[in-house]
Amino acid sequence: MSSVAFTPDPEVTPDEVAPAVRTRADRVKRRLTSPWATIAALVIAVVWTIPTFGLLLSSFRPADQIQTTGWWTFFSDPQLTLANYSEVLFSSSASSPQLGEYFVNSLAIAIPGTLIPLVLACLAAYAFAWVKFKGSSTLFVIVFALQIVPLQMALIPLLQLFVTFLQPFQTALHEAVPFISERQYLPVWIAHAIFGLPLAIFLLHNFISAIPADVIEAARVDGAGHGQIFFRIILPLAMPAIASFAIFQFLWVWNDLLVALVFSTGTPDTAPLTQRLAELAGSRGENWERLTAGAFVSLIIPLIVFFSLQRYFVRGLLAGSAKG
Amino acid sequence: MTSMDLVGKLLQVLVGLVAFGAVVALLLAFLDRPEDKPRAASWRSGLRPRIILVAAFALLALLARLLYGLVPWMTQALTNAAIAVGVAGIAIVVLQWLLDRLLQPASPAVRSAVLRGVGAAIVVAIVLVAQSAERIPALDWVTPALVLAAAIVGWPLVGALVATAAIAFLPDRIRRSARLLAWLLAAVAVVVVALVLEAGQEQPVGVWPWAAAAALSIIGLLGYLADRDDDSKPMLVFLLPSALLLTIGLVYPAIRTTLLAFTDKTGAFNGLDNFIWMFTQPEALVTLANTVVWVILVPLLSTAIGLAYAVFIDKSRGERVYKMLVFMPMAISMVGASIIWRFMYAYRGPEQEQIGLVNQILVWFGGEPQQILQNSPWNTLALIVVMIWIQTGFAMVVLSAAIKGVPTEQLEAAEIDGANPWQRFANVTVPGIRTSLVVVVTTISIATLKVFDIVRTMTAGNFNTSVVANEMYTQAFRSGEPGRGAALALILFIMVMPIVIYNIRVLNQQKAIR
Repeated sequence: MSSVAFTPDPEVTPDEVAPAVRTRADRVKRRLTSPWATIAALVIAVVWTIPTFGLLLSSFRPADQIQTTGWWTFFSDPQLTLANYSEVLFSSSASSPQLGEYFVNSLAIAIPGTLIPLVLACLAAYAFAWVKFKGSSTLFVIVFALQIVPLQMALIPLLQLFVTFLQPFQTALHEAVPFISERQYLPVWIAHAIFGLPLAIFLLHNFISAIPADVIEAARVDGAGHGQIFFRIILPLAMPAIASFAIFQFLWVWNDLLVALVFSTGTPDTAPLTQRLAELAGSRGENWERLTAGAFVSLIIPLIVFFSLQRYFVRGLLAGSAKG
Repeated sequence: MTSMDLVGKLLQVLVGLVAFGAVVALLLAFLDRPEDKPRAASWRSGLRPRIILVAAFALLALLARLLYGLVPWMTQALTNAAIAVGVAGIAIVVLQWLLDRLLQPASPAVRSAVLRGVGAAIVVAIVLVAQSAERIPALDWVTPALVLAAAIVGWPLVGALVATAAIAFLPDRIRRSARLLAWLLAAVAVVVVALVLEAGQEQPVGVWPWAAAAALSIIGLLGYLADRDDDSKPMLVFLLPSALLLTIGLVYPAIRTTLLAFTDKTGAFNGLDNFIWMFTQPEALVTLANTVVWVILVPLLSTAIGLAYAVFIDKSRGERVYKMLVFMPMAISMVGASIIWRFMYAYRGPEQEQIGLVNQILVWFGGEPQQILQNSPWNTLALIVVMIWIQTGFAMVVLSAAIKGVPTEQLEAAEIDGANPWQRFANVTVPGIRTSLVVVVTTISIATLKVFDIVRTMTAGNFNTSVVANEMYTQAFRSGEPGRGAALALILFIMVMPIVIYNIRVLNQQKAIR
């Protein structure tokens, strides 16, 4: 494994085993496996999959069936429908969850909520890694230490700050451009950017500082400025780390509930899917035809990311697991 | 949702990203001062980005015109605004290109002076047009607030531009300081003009002047810093946004929360009362006790199950699929997971058919269906199951990678020495993956201490299931007791801190070894 990888990478390790070693390992292994182990593994796999599967299946069953019979009866009486999804997503009746709107909100929060800390962290990580200035290491240690602060520590004062300083600005923006609602995503973006920064700077710094100094020295000799070095050398070389962090941060923001509860207005203007779902689960906990479909609407993006970008996903997740 | 709302939201994202992009571009522009670079001689230089910009502006205007009347959200005001922005954008790009060509042979001082002068003229034009907007039908989208903002920001900006243009001819030594002075004076002027306007009671001025003043001073300061010849100084510009955000958003609030923990709900200092409440009141004690149960059970069980699973599936056929199935809960939100499990726990009276699998299994085995989420203390265990379900995949993936790193020779040697599979596992594999085990246990402990979403979604902390992170939210944002919330946050911080430090140290050691 290269020295720049910042985490154990389960996707890489098996490929690194030399073929000869592998056959021998297989031989040893074969003698180690017992049928009981296989059965136990199968049982765990099934137990871990069934809850999700049950929910997915239920979300496609007619509403009256969800309410009266268990989803396992589907196999004796199969009936499928898309009505639940069209109901939760597009129905405009007042009693419908109207998740389409919240889906847009989730996207509108998650994309800037990922891009802003990513860009700022790239800049800062480069400065920490490749520019010598006074107090550089002290400053980096402080940023590093900030990972320890759980975000609960920041919630109350940050909200007060936003109300005092950001609110008038938002109102002014709304007055100048009436098209933009007074309830904006801005506080949520800033909050996510702040909470994502320490980890992002730390991870990207680890990666960027591991780029060989010769490469950067050579560019400098050729007359490249900081900007050119940053764009032509650092960014392309750090792409794997950037992608990993981007995916981690995106999912973190998408799946977040606490920051949304505190900093979004809670109205359809800004609240993300998670907030709406938590609310529905509280107020209409027995409305299963809506909850099942709604839950799957919120799961679909993470699952797509998970299945298509697994390698980056795993790496980002492992690196990010200490996030505050 | 009306399409109007949707467009408003898209506009918000667009404006946000463009504004952020502009700030970053400005920062980067400070980094490589144009004076440093040799200017390309050909007139073609920089032509392509300008063509793209012009095309984009033209497209914006054209789209607005085409959509007008076709879709309901494209109002007349919006169309006019888009066309105006498009035309003005094209004009500015073309003007800037022409100037750039004409000024090629001139000295940097002359060039910068002329560019600033033209910029000032454009700002004057915009302000004047805005003030007469009421009489021009095509400008019906200009709101009074916008006019006011243009005036307040515009005039000082003109002043600053003219002043800095003049400064370009000053001797090098004092030029930098003079420039900074000019920007700061402009910032002060904005505020003064605004206050004068407000005193005249013509219109309330709102926050525009303050925002403009802050922006002007920041631009001036950045320019001042970036202008140093010293190679490293411009890099402070790189750090500035992150440092600013972290100070305002994390360092200051953390200190503030610590102080807040010693105040009551009116904000008066009340000593240790919040902590006394926490450790004496029954409902608060339940919260603490639950948190302890969580933090013991979740790391232990998820690591144990994850390790067992990783060993069982190691090098078996379909290992990838096996891993994927158990790891998947890690990708979905805790809110989603909570709904999945609430459905598992769903309760119907004993006379009805069950729809929740757990209760159905109870019935199949001849038991009574239970209100799983309401019967204390078992409901806490039911919530813990959800967290274990999520975290096991994490433990499994990390430990599986670690197991593959244990040298086969050692296992073979142990086998030759007559060790049975269990002995080989306990005496060779486990010591070999010790660091990974520590990382997994500590990481899951941290996540567990901060668990909020699951409790919030499944029971909202009712029926004696609350934990510290949830109680913190409830006290601070629902019950209006920010002091108690802050005290709980502080406790959380104190509990998490040693584990995080230990975790990071182990992670770093692991990296050093590799």
